[in-house]
Amino acid sequence: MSDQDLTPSTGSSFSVILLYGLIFGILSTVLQIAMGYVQINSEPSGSFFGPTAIGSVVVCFLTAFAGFLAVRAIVKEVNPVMSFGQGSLVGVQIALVITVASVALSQVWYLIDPGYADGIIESTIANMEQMPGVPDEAIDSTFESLQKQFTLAGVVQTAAISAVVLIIVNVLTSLLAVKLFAQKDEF
Amino acid sequence: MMQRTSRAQRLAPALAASFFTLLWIFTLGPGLYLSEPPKVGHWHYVAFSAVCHALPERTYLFNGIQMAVNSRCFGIFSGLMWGAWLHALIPFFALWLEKSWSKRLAWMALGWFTIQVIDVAGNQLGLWTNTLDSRAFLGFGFGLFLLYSIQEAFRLPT
Repeated sequence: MSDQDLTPSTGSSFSVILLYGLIFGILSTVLQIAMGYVQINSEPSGSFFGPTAIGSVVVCFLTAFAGFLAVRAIVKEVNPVMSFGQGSLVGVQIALVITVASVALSQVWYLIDPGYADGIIESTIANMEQMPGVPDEAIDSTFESLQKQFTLAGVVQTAAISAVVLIIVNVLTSLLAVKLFAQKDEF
Repeated sequence: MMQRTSRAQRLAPALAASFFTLLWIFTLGPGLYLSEPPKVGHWHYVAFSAVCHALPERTYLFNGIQMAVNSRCFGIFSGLMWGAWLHALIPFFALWLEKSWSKRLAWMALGWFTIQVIDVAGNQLGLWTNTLDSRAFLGFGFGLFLLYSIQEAFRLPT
């Protein structure tokens, strides 16, 4: 390995993090919104495993491995040397970018289509009504909770709470990428 | 000073294991402190919502209440916790693994993750039917390999 190979390029790690964070934030939100429309336009099945749930499976894989792919890109494009500490920081930053991008994009979408939230709430309730043995009180409380979730305060609160675990998971996948792709450095 | 450093070095993996234990306890869900199922949007479910779908049909119950994560993710978090404790309690095994298997472990973690994707796809396509336990088992393997492949990160530099 020559010295030149170890020389960092002029590119910035943060621009890679921003790019990957935005891509995964937008991709996961668009997928969730699209699956939301599929749910709104389909007949209630009485099962939890509806279109939004299938979207959630893909979204959770995407968001969990954003840190992994960002570290791989940084190591390949910016600097081949990365410590575990730096890798962890990438995981934290990318999780925050994804969270902010998701909140911003979903809020913009609720403004573009004000009927989206009502559609999701109505289709979820209609689905619950098809489930055997679900009491009316549970349906009423779900209705109230969903209404709260679609307010700005509800979206921000949800994002803030879920960001904590998203950060932890992205730190872990970033560390895996450091182990696989980066050249060793001191902490 | 020398003694203090070595004590800190011994403590670091145990602290990491304690952290993963705390995380694992959180995955058990609101059944830890509630006797009745909570409302939709309870913080315990919201916390893991960005990384886990936690569909009721695919999630274990704890004290009769749905856990915060599905069975596969519960397996992953369990693997992380057990891996972290094995690392903390049997350090020579961790060191031996790191010396002889270093990068191979990370590739095995990635391979185990690929098995998850194949398992999800095969189940969706109707090629086979996975169960709560089979998903948890596959998740456990991924968590364990993931933790072992990045164990260096939970040790202080010498």
